[in-house]
Amino acid sequence: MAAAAAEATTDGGGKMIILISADGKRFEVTEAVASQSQLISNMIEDDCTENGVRLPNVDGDILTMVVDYCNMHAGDAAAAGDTMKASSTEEELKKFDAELVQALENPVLFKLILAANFLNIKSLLDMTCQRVADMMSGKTPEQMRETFSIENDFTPEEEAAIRQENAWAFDD
Amino acid sequence: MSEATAGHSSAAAAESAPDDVIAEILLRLPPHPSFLSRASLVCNRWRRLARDPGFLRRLRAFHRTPPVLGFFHNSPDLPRFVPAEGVPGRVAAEAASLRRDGDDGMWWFVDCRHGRALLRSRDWAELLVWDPMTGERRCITVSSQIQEGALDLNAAVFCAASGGGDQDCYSSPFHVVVVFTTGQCHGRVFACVYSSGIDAWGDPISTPVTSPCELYEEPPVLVGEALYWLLDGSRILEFEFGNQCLCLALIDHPVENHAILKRNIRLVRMEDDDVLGLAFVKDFSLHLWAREVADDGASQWIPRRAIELDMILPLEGYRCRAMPIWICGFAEDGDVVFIRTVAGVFLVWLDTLKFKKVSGSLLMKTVYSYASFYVPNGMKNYASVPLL
Repeated sequence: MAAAAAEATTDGGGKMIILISADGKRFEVTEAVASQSQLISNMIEDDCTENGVRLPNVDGDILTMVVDYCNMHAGDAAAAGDTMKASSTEEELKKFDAELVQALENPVLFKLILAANFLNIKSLLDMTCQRVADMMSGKTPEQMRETFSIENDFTPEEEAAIRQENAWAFDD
Repeated sequence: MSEATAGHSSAAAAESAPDDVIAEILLRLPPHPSFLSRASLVCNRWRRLARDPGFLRRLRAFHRTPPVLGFFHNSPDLPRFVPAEGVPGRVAAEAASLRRDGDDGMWWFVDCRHGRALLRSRDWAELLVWDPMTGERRCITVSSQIQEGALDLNAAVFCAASGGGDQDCYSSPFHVVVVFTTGQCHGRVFACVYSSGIDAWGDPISTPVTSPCELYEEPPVLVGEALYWLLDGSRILEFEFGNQCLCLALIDHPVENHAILKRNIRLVRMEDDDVLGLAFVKDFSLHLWAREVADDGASQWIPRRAIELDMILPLEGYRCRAMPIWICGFAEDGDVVFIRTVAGVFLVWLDTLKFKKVSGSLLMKTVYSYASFYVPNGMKNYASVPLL
């Protein structure tokens, strides 16, 4: 990886850092944008982002979404890409967030949650976890297992016993 | 080159998400216990997470106000628990098992707060504190000082940890306070407190009253660290339990609670600013007044809201103009009011004015709102309490 390529500044003087996905895609973002990740914010404070930040457990397509989200939410910070707006109104943000989570299905949704959790971006984690919770509500345990590809690891006896004691949900 | 590392996520899905992520998701399910109950049946890991005491504390902090699951009432011929939504579930089954030996076989509801219900024998000789979620029960013999000579009685179950932010009165020891007037001593009203931690009654305290007073049978309201009961004659009995001291006082209110208003007036906690409020029905509207206390301690009652119930509730076809609308009770947080009409009992959410008919019965005069978060089966809701 060419370390020198990671050194960059914007015209406005805001320092740029490079994020590198598991599959080697590179994203140039301002410190303000990247700092929404508590993980990267800590790395900036510790002065260890100069050669780029490798994120070996975040794929490029997921990191694209994360960077889009951070650009959108970075307030008045300068954005890296030409197509992204530097700042957005509250209404635009709401619309952007709603469209982002509505479009997501498992397993991409969970990949995004894991990335938000790992990068420690609280607002993105909140939003994506809420989306999963919304998808779960109204579903039976069987439907939840199917939706999220979870194996039923209860024995039939255990399952019967738990159904019995959880009369809140299953008395009908 | 810096490298931030964690476990690989190539097979990213629910199964590979760490426990804290699954907990974040479970936390965000709607607060009605049926949602977590269902989720805990998905797999062992989800079940373990949903039963974790730390998670349950976070759940209460996250949602803050427990959902109103329904209400209890004292009409002996009907199921004692009426659910607000969905199926009756565990609480109804527990309520159906509430029988006592002797006299009429009934436990009578007196109060319900912080996930516990307080019931009494007909003669007030015994009290029962019951956790509808876990089935835990504690029977308390009423102090002989109360039994001898009490005329009107009312009581409340409360927790001294209430009023704080983390709402963990659900897992703390509880107190029961009985307030009463006596035949011998017309000039005073009394209060006596039982504490579960020491399983004993304290000494009675009292405050003078200028004229004989009648204690209404409706349950009290908790605001901050004080409980309030309605008395006749536009008076309110205040019982403060904060600051390690117990004290009783009388407060006046400006609404003449006689004639048609009698029994159609309730004390309520004003949800927005946690002050004492007064709710009453007049001209088919629900009026809400708040007691605002200035810095110098002077207080005044301020009208806050009037809700035209006859315009909201579907009473067409009923001769509602000829029949009054009754307040049956409030949720402990003051966000839901139970209204009885000729068409039955309605829950009305005060913030949205959405409503729901929950019973066609006309027999339920006073209801005891029951709100609770998820409590896993087999888990104790309150700690260190010897059980029956």
